[in-house]
Amino acid sequence: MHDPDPRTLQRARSGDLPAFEELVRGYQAEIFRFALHLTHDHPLAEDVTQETFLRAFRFIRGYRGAQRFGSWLFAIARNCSMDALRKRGRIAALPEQDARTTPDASVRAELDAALAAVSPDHREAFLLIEVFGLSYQEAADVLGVAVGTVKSRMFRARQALCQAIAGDQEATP
Amino acid sequence: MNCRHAQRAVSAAMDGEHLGAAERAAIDAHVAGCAECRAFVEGSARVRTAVRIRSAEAVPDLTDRIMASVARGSARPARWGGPVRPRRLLPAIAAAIAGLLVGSSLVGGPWASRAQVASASEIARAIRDVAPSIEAFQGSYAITERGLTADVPERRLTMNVAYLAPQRFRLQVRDETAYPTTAWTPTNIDYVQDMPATFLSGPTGCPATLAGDCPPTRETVTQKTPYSAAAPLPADLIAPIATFGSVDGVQVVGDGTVDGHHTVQVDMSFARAAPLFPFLRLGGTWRPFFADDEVRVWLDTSGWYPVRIEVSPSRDPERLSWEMRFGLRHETPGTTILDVALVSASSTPPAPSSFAIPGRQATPVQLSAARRVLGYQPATPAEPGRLSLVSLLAPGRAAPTSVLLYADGLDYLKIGEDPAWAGPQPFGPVTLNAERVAVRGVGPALYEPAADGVDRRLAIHAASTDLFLETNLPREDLLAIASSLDLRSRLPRAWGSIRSGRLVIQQVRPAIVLAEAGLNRIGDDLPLGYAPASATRTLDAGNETGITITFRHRDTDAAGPPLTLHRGVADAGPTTAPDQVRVMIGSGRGLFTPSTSVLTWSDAGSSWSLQGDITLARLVAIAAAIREQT
Repeated sequence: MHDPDPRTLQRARSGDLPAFEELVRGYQAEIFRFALHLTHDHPLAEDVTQETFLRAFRFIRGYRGAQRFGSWLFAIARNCSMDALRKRGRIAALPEQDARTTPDASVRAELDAALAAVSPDHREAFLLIEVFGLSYQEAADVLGVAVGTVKSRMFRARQALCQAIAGDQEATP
Repeated sequence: MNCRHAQRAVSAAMDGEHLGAAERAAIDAHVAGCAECRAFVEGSARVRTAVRIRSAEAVPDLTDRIMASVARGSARPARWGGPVRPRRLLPAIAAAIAGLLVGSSLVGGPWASRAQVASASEIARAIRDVAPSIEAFQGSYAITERGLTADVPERRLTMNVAYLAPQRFRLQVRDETAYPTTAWTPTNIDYVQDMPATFLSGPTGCPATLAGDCPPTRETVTQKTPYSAAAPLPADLIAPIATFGSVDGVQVVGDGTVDGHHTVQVDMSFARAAPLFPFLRLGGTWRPFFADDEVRVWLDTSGWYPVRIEVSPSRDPERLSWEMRFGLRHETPGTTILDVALVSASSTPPAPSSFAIPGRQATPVQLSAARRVLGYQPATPAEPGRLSLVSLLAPGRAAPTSVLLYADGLDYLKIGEDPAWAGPQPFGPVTLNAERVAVRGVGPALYEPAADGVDRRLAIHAASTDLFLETNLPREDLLAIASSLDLRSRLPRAWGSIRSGRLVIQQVRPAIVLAEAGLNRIGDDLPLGYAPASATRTLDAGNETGITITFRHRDTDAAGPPLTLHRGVADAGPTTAPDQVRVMIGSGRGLFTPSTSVLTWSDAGSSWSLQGDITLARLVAIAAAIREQT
């Protein structure tokens, strides 16, 4: 995860729209991918991304740099995703049909199925660290939990995924 | 080394956590000889590979869409780009912003409706965030008041509010009402606050029992105060910092366009909304309001200033007896009895000269010259947060000998000091009902939450000096700034007791008195945000005759007034008053005196009283819980 230019951040904090646009360009892909992982719904992930930046703009004066800017944005995106999913009255369902049509079908299907078996808390920690490359501290900032909790969730996610993959291997000789 | 330990360590190492050489070696040795752990290491690596070779999702470029909505919904362009003009938002964007604030169950967007308190917290945080950036404000309002008297059923007034950083405020009310006779004095008010000095000119206030009792002509009086502990009175019309000092009692209701502003509507009781009505406390004639009357406030979602404030009669049955006491006709819930409407607002800086207070002002002193001019160096916090020092003043007699003013937009901190203070009670606007708090690195101090017309206060006594801090910053920020003062404090023993003949009133820690009275669990029965603030023990010739505990909201009295619980000896007998009514408290009886808001009851050799300006139902609920516990 990269850090924005401090001058851009400073300008954005004082309400400078072109500076904020720079931040949008720099982070929207990651935010969209994160939202897509959490929602498994393309149009919804787009809405979540837009909502995340709207909220970020509104509250950017309150961002004091205590955590990395990316972690702060991820935390907002996570809240927006949860709100969007709660509104739909369901947790993220896995779009299996998509997995089967991609070139990496077997790997994706296997991993998605395995991820589906992991608890949402553990899956979030796994996504932030393994997929988005956040450190334990950054993931802790995003999730609002202690570093030790992230470490432990990550370990449990790995354990569950290893078992799931091993189980698949046994089941498909 | 067991499998669990080894696998946890491997997992952490994969994520970049550092392992010591010895631990690394021990883990390698264990994994080499353990099939289960080898499977974990290999499986984890396979998962990692699978994740990383996944084809990247196609990411749409949403920049234009995001920036379009940000531009239309952003705070700055409207607020900071000059005059605030009424504007209409595209419905979809308005919906997106509203969804942000109140959950779009109201507007049909994809956002979940969240708990009300969370939404109010979001608004409170946005207000706190915007406050330091506000440098200037000018607003004009139309005020309509109904139900003053039968002769004057409706009054129309205009109000102008101006603000210029640092900490200069002006509020002007002009009464446009056509009164039936010239005996009426129009409510024309001029108020200027150039912190810490204030100026007020207006008709003397009419007692709350207005109709008939008021003298036909009231004098216009002018008051000048070189040092006032008043909070910046009109500040909440610019950004409702004091009102949202706590979100308890604030309900987010919905959103909508009001007078061309996109707004969010919040509801609260009249008592809760007091800081939004600064003009009511500056004299003149105003109709009375019941503490539980309903206040609806529409806040502009870009600048967070109130666009409209409406008061309507409470549905509480207690209002009927209140109406009778005030000689008012019955007022129907849902009708508007006070309407404050923003007519225009702008961020154009007003002329500095318009905040001039006539007459001689306190002399500004250079901090570097302080020792020579004042005879001492005022205590300054090493870390005033984002605030910066604006002025050092020596207001003179009957006031602190020096006042430091720090500010950042609407946020402020005043530090008054007097090294010669030798009074029998705390220095500054802090009472014995204050809560004893520990300031890190400094020592004990006395804290009071924001109250009617004053902000949060902290009194500190040190061997060489006495000072008090006043601020509209949150409690934690106040304590954090105080902890950067280079002082060692203590609380003088003399402050802890008052002696009058045989009678001694002693300050004690609330926890001790609560434990003695068997009220350890009282916290659960208090209204939200309340905590025991202070306690006293009354001794008559050395024998305890009573205990008194004051409970207060930690942040602001606006979220709930102080509650005072007293336990005395039963044979003292309950006081009597003509308006007393009998009430049931749990399975026992009690007496309620509406004029003083006191509920009394007797139990097992003790007489109890609970006083607080809250509804009878809430007093009874707390009293019932106390009765059950004791």
